[in-house]
Amino acid sequence: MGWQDHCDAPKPGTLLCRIDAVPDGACKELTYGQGDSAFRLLLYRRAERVCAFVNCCPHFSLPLNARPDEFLLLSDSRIMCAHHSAVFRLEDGRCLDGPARGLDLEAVTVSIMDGLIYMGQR
Amino acid sequence: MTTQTIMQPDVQASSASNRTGYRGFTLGSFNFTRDEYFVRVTWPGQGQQMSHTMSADAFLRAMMRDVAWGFFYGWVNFDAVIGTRNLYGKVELYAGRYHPAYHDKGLDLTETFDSPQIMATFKAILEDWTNEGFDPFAAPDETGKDWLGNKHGSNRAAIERERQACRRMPGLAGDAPLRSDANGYPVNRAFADVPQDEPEIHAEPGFENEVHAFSLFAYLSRSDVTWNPSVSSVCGRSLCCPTTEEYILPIKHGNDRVEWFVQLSDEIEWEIEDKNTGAPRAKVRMKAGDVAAMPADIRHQGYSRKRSMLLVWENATPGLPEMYESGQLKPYPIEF
Repeated sequence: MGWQDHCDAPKPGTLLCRIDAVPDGACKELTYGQGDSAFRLLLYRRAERVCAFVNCCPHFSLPLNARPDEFLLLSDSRIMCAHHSAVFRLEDGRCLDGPARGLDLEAVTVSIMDGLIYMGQR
Repeated sequence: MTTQTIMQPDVQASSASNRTGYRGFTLGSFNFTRDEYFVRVTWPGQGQQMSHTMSADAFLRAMMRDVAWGFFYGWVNFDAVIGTRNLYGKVELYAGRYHPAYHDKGLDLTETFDSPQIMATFKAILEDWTNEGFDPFAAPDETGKDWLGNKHGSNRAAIERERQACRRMPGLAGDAPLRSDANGYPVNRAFADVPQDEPEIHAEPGFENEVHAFSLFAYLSRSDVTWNPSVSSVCGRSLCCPTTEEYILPIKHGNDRVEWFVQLSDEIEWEIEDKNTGAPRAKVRMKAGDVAAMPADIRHQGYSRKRSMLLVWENATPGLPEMYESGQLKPYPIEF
């Protein structure tokens, strides 16, 4: 079961947001659907590159942030889960440290065209 | 939009002691030192230098859990005096806050740190103070007495061992593997009589990839650590976290939600205390098949004289601590 099976996940080609809505070197969360079962998409921007993941730490299946758009960013493009301190590399979602080692963030393909971020390849 | 800054943890450590070889550490107003037998934590209180002493092995076992669990849910009391509270992004470190003798006299101290800062400091302490040959995750019968004495070597392999978790269930394609001799999980000495056969799955055609099962007893018989709940099934916010227990739970866990315990084998005795004062509230002796709900307003510590199997059932619903703290939810799940 992957993120594509989530009923609220945006379809390929869906416009997500403008690239400048994601500050350089920071994360932004986009939510699709309602309530606790909503699809939560995490975007991370480094210069003109954007990486996307399902915002779900594979340790306890919780979002990486405990409060809206508050992320624990570390040097070298790493992020720490606010709940139980698992550390992930934002370039590829690899878990580097903490209780989720061996389980990585689930990557989502996005693409950029004319300063806009889209779901999937375009 | 919330501004996000890159955190740079900065571990404050002294040089190694000429006498013992151990380094001292500072985190905010707290100081941590250790010698041959003891760990000493100091903090300022009413113009005095307060101090608290723990046996180094008990301290290391407690800190191992706090680091491995990433500060877990709620409070991780190393003992009746010092501990941490997870604020999910930040962590409180306290001394005496939940001990009336300190708190009522204003001699307690609580300071709040960004999670990366306190985690980096705790990991540095754990690495420096864990000697070669001592495994703070292991039962006393399965590790040596190398926790004591002057510094000799280290044991990174033990303190940084991979903690097991899963996305849905171990053994599913793309998920965590089941434990076996081949991947480094032999049957524990206490569970040599546990059958190792796995269930047969006969799914209706078309459902072959939607049904999964494994023997939880066999899985647990191969646990290499004690008192370390690991996620073994995920269904929405419902997390089953079984674990094997031997000797004493090295911390007193203060709940910020209800936790359900299902005793799967043997026996554990639990001491239940008021979360804020430590006043005794109950003793619970759980035998195989017993089920208990640990309320959201207590702290608990378990004693298992023989290695036993326990299923901890966690509710990972975000916002639960606030719902209990506000009184929206009662601290216990049922009323008699």
